[in-house]
Amino acid sequence: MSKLIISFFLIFVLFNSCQKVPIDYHLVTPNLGARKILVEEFTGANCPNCPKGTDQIKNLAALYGENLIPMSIHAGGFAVKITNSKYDFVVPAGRDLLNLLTPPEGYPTAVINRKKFPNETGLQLFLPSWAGYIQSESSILPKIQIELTKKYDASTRGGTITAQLTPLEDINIPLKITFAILENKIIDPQKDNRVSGGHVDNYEHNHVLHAILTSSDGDPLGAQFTKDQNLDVTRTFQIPAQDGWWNDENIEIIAFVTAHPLITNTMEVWQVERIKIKD
Amino acid sequence: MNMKKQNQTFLQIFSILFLLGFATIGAIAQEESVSDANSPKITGFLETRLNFFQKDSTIDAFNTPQYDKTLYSMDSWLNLSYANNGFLIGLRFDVFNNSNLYSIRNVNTLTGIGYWQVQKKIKKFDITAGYIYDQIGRGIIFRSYELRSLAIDNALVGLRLVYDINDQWKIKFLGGKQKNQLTTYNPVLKGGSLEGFITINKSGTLSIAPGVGAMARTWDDATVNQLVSTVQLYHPDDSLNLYYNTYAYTIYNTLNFGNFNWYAEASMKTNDVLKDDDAVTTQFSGGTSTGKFVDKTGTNFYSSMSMSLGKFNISLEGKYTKNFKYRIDPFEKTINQGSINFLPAMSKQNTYALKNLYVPATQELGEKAAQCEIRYALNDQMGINATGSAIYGRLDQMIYNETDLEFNWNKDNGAILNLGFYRQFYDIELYQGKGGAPAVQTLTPYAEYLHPISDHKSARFELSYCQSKQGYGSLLYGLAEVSLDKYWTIFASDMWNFKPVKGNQIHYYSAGVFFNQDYLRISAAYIKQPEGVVCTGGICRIEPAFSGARLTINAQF
Repeated sequence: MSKLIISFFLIFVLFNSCQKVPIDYHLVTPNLGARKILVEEFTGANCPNCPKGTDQIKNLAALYGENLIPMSIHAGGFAVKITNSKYDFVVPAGRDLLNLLTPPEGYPTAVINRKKFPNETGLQLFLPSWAGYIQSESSILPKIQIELTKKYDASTRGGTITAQLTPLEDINIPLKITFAILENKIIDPQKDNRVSGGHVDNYEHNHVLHAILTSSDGDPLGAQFTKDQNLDVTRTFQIPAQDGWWNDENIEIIAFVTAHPLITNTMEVWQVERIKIKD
Repeated sequence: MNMKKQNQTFLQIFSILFLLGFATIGAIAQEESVSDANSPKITGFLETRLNFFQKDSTIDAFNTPQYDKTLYSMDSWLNLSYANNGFLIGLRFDVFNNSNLYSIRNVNTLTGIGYWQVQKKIKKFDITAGYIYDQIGRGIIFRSYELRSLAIDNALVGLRLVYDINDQWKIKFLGGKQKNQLTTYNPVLKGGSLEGFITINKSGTLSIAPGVGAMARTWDDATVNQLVSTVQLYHPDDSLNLYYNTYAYTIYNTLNFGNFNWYAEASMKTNDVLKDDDAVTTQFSGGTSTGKFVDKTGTNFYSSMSMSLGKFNISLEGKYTKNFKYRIDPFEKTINQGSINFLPAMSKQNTYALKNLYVPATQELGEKAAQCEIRYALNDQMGINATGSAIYGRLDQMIYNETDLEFNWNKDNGAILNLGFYRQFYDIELYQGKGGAPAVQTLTPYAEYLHPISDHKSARFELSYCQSKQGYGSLLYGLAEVSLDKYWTIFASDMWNFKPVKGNQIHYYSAGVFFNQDYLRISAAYIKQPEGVVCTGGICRIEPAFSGARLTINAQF
């Protein structure tokens, strides 16, 4: 009986030692530095969970402003036309990026700065992780700066885009650069499981990837970069005729510098910048 | 744990086995009358699955690294157990080559010690160190277990101490970290239970088995930092409290009275941060969305009872769940890994293919569910089995129900006939996130017949038809399996999606052969299988579509 009493006492002690220790934290707004963050969201018109992710990116963009640069890639099993769809958002470059960054386990999903974060199984990240990783990436000082300039002739719908790269320190790692054309404010149907019927006819699609002006995984830049020695990279582009979409008022071009995966074993985005082709 | 450490551990364990082996040989040499119970014994079990992938875009078996590049995968587990002098030592070597078991879209290649354990009982004191599979009560506050088909292996890596207070009571403490493939998660678990068994009357027909238990989780700094960096950017309307520690408590009892058995368990959980995909969030960009972390306490009530009344056998189960998700990682980076607890499922575990198309996953954030099974024996050979279950979601909406009526006839000559009719309602929008998709309703008549031909020769046939206008649409399934002799069995099956909701008709056919010996079972099959949700006990995994050949080898020694 005494042993039983001792056991009950031990259990009592165990239960009573269970104090909840609060974690002190305060709500903050992010400190915006010079580092900008690329968020590659994989989505599809037939993906009912994806608008939740899109809203989260929009929400975070409201906090980070120009420091957060989203790219919406329609690729994978959910990227198909649905009832009343006018446009097929699937482009070869999107498929290439899906293969490059590996298909996700589920949706909503996004790749943040193409970084493999500790304890993550891959580059694709589920929604709850985005805010924390974006914040941690934002606090890292950039090693390179990108300044974009463009020349665009609205009459021919053609132009050039130039990225002036300024290393902020000596860099001895092979890098690549990618230019991508995105379009905002495309109205087309989208599945959304948050609304009655699960379907929104006049959904606004933003940052939709149209094309990549370089190789899908980027064009090599070299492997030796000296601090403050500028490097200009220029590509030409041609915007197709406006046919409901391809509205040049809503077209933006993003450029980002990444590590060379074959040599550095990482595809991390070092810096990203964007510009509208029409002011 | 990195690979070097894994190998070191492996060598250390084998060194222990080796030394104990020598010690035993010495002991046997000195004293020849060693009883069998004390004789050293090594046993083992091998399970190997080899998949050879063949691309088939018509069933969506493509666009994964296995179909595009590796074309082959292997998942293999070799268990070794060594018993001597009251010591029990276990070891498991895991091999995953190009595996899609843990991550269906990626290649996973890992090799190392997936499990080791040393156990010794010293009179009333039982010590276990290493990888521990255990549970408290029915597992509602803690269950560590391995379920390979669902890629679950959440062993507690740590220490367990059990003390038999007397013949009726025992107390248990355990603590450690949760296994995460070949590493561990960083948060720490600790807990224990006090369990008893008391016979109330002299005849022993009335007894109770009461128990209480607790399980605490303490987050590590890395998890806390990641959590804080996420929630500190929340809109003030969505702010929440965070705690380093969460505690789950439970009290349970089994009452046995003759043919009546009643189990009841009540559990609660202190404030925990839960990922709630339906919680409304306030956006800085204006408006609202859904999906955020919330800070909630949890409760769960579970009860089951069974009784035998002459020709009737009745079992009932019920469960109430509110915010009882208990995870080692609040971000739930992988779907089935990281669960600390297990909430019993409230749907029937089905064996036939077309009854397994739509299986409900346990809803950890809110569920009210009940199920009932009644079996009536018509005579020694024939019986009727009726099953029903109903599950309601967080908003008290019906999310699942099923009824199954089955007739069984086991003839004296060994022939078996099962005939049944199954119907189902399945909220596919909730369970599979298919927004706007109508709930699936199915009607499935089915039949199975086993015909004995002679000793070790038999033929078995299955035929079922699933009628539905939702989900996959309507399907027909047929299987023929012939046991040729004591060792060899061949089979062929086809699941024909003849009236799909979308797309063209598809045949998912399979054929293969089994070889069975006392210690060895080998199967080789060519398989076409649709992508689907595979569930066991309410835990589900998306099983990717499969096209190709599969070889499995199970051996025990």
